[in-house]
Amino acid sequence: MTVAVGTRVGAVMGRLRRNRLSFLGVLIVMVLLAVVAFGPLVWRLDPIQTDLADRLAGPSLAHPLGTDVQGRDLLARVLHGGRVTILIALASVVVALVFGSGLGLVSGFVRGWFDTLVMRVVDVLLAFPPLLLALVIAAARGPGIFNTVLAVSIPAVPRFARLMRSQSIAIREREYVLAARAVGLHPARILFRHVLPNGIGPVTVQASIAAGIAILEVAGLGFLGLGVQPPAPELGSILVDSRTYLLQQPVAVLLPGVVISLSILGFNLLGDAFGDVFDVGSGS
Amino acid sequence: MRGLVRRRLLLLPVTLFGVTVITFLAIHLIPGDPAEIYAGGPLAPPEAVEAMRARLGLDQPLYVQYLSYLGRLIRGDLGTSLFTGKLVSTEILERLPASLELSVAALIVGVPIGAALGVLAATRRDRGTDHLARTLALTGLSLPSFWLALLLVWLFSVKLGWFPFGSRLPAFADVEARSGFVIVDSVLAGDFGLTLQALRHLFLPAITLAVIPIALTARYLRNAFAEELSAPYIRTARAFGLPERLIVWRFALKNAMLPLVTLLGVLLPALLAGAVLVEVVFSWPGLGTYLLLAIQSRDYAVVQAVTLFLAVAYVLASLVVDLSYGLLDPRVRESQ
Repeated sequence: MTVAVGTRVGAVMGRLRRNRLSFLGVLIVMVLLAVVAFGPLVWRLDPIQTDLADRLAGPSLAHPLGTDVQGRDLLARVLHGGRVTILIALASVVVALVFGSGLGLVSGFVRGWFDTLVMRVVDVLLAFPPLLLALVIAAARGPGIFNTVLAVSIPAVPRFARLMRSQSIAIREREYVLAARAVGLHPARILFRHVLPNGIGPVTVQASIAAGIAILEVAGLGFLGLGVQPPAPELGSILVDSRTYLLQQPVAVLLPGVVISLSILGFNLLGDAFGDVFDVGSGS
Repeated sequence: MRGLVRRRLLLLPVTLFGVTVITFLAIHLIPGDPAEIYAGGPLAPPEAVEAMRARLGLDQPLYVQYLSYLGRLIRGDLGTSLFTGKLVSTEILERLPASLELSVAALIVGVPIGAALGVLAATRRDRGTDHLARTLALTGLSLPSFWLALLLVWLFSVKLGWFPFGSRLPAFADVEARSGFVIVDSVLAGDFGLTLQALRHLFLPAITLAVIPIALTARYLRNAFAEELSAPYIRTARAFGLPERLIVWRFALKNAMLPLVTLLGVLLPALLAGAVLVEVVFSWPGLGTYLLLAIQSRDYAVVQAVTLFLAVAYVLASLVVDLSYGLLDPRVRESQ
């Protein structure tokens, strides 16, 4: 058993080493998660505390990146903002993954009217450009963290559903599923013990890509004032706060954008890495 | 192919029906009482709220409300803006040209650049150029458009002063609206100075938006082209000693271009929606700023109508693409 696991890890690492870009993706995402998880614990300044005597200050020992227009420490704001943006994005992906894959898994396995119904609903949701759907849900529900998760996760559900459904359909015809049925295993057991684990590979790729899109949407909603509300830090809302002071404090616009871009890049590359590991498609 | 067409055409009404149900129900997603919101908020007198409820038909059962909504849609009535009191359909048509102008400009700039990058990468596979092109495409897909817009404005408008910023035309400039497209109208009016001005206003937002088609086209074409170049018929052609130029440009590229049709059809509507953020940064008077203004002023009739309009455009565009793809590719045409 340990030998089998050992060789498997070795093979995965081997595949990752061969593709340097995928490796870079894994690295970016790991560093990013570490920074937003532990950064605020190390750099303990309050991201909301204003100090009007120290507005738009340049870099100093007390404020390595300077301060914003209300004298708030920029490093603390970007660290906390990154944490908020990425947490909301990842939460949205988890919600979409659970609902979407769950629907797809069941509808592909049972087929019939349930499948038809789910797929028609998925078609309708896919008729809306994702960003537009997120925008409208956020507009209807109002700003806030919970509503942002809702707005970002709903547009992502259909793709998970379609993907898992096609996996489910393919796997239900395999011999081991037939065998499991022949022995009289409960369908739920077959679904969760056999179909789900064997179909999950491509879903991880989709989840990575969805995480990149979710970060973009969370920051976009924040930028438009429809996401997380000030004074709470969020990368998109820091950007829109700082755009008026671009000339006096360029770091406040540059840094949040760099963090957003890097995280999207990281998750896109991580998707490629998952693709390598599970041998999904053939990127190159 | 006939089966595919029939299936797609049969599903179209189902999808459109679903889209109208969603835009209809969206109004009920709003927390609180829509009648109260429309009547002016919690301070509105109760009789005004009731009057608004009757006017909006919200006192009717849900299916009656939906049927009358559908009836109005079929007659082309998208509702009235609470804010301006004008017909939403009129306002959409007024603003559509600005959005189309921006999206088409982004496509005209983006697709050739992306295609060139993709072809370069595929013909020099796994070499420096290939890696560079793929890195560029990946970076392009990772840049948030609103951030890129801010940076471009900072560099080219504020620092260098090369391009103006905000709106489609210089202040006080006016041109008789014949098509609604400023560029076309100014050419029709024979005012080429104004055309130049309009192009300069268009430049930065179009470049910002073009990043998406550049990156997507490059990635798409690189993969399709590289795959085509390793196909057996190419090996055969090489074995026969046909000139490489002929093989690459006449055979492989022609076949690799086909999927690009799909991409184009998906890009245009995606750009129309994706332009929202770019339009906002550049104060571009298109559908995106219209939608955002409506959201901010809680003008739900407009939000509902613009969403419906964009979704229907998206559905129809993907249908046209799927069908034209079938017409262009004999393999799809003959199958089924």
